[in-house]
Amino acid sequence: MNPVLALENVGVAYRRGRSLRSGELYWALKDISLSLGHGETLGVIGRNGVGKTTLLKVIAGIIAPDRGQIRNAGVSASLLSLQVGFVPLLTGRENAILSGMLLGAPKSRIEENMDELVAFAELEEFIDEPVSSYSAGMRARLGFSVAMQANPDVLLIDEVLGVGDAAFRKKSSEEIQRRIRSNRSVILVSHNTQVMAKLCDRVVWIEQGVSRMQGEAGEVLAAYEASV
Amino acid sequence: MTPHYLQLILYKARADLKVEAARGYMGMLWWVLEPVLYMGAFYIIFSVALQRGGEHFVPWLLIGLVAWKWFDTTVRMSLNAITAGKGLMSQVYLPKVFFPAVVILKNTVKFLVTLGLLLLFLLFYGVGSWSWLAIPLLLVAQLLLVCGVTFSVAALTPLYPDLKLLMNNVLMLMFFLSGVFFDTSNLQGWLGMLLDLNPMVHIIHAWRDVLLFGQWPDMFHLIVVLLFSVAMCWLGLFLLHRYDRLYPRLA
Repeated sequence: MNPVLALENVGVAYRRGRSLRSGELYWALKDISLSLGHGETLGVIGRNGVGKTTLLKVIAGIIAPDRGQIRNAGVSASLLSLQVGFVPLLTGRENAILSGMLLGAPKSRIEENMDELVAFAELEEFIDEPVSSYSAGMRARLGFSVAMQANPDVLLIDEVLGVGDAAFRKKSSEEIQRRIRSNRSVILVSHNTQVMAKLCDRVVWIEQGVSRMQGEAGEVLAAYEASV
Repeated sequence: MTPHYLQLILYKARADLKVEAARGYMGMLWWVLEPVLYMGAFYIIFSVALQRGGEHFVPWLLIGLVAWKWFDTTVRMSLNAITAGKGLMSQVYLPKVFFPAVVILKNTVKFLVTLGLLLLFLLFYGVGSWSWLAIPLLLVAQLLLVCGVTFSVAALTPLYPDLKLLMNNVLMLMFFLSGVFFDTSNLQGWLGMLLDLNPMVHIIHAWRDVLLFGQWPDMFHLIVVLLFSVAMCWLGLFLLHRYDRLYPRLA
């Protein structure tokens, strides 16, 4: 299998203190290796603070690693983020375009899919109102629907959480799961081993910034649970 | 810079302008009112209170102020542009030139409104001339200077936060030494040479030649400023590119 994306011995260091050049180095990620095949769903499991969020930022190209290599077969990778760049005084429609473009979707495609997006967010009557007049739930629904416009080759997900009220939470969580199961390559970070077992083909277990084990989901999850 | 990001810069600048207009009750009227009040304040101080002046003093002063304000506001806003974008850039990848480019674009739109007002005033005052055909040239020259300084300053301030305080004072000094209030060509010796190092001196001079005195701008100085601007643009873009994936990690 040819991986679309592979990390080899990747490390990321932050400096303690404020200075850029001096100060003790703190390695948030020490030695991470993993590979992702086309159409595969790879889970990343580990306890709090082992650098999972930093790892996703490296894969998304937001920050550069301080050592190691990223091999990318020319694919785009981006984080599933909600309400990116929302501006309260703009209308829902304007925010959908702005936020969608920030997530990498072409403006023409967002405009084309606007009716569908609005229907999914259940905001037909409010889409031309400023977002500052929305309730938190309405904003969350719009944010989620816009995020679904992003169409990267590799989708990076930090916890599969539904948003909004009970009904929308169910609908949004189903929509994410549908995308994960589709033929898209996905890297999924979660604490929930049951969700991981259900959704992932393979899992990487990270401990203290090091990728400790990588392999078939059931196997790695069993080893992880035994160690906790 | 792909077409997608160019389109995004345009959309974001438009959105920001819209938000600004939506914020107050008077909306877009402020785009006109603000420069009028700004120019009015200086007019009262210099022409009425201090009794400075002579022939054409008011248009002469206003031209300098309008050109200066475009430069000053844009550079000031760029000091924080990247730091303020931290939340955004840690969620999605963006080429960092996005942040100063949005600042430049929206200030340029506002400047064009102000310039329109100024030209109306000058026509009314009775100094319109054929030399106004050189306006696009001056727009390009000053835009390049604004871009060069803005890109460089925006790229450096997140790395060296002290630069923010320093730049505030440098801008004030440049303002007083830019010849907005006095004619720098009267100065001789080392002081004159020092002032010549300020690129805005030459830009303001060129605007006055073209708009007020019906002359073509001094091409030699304009070309020197142009070369400086291109070098600064290159430096700024180089730094923004080089530290592209470092900025999201800075506090």
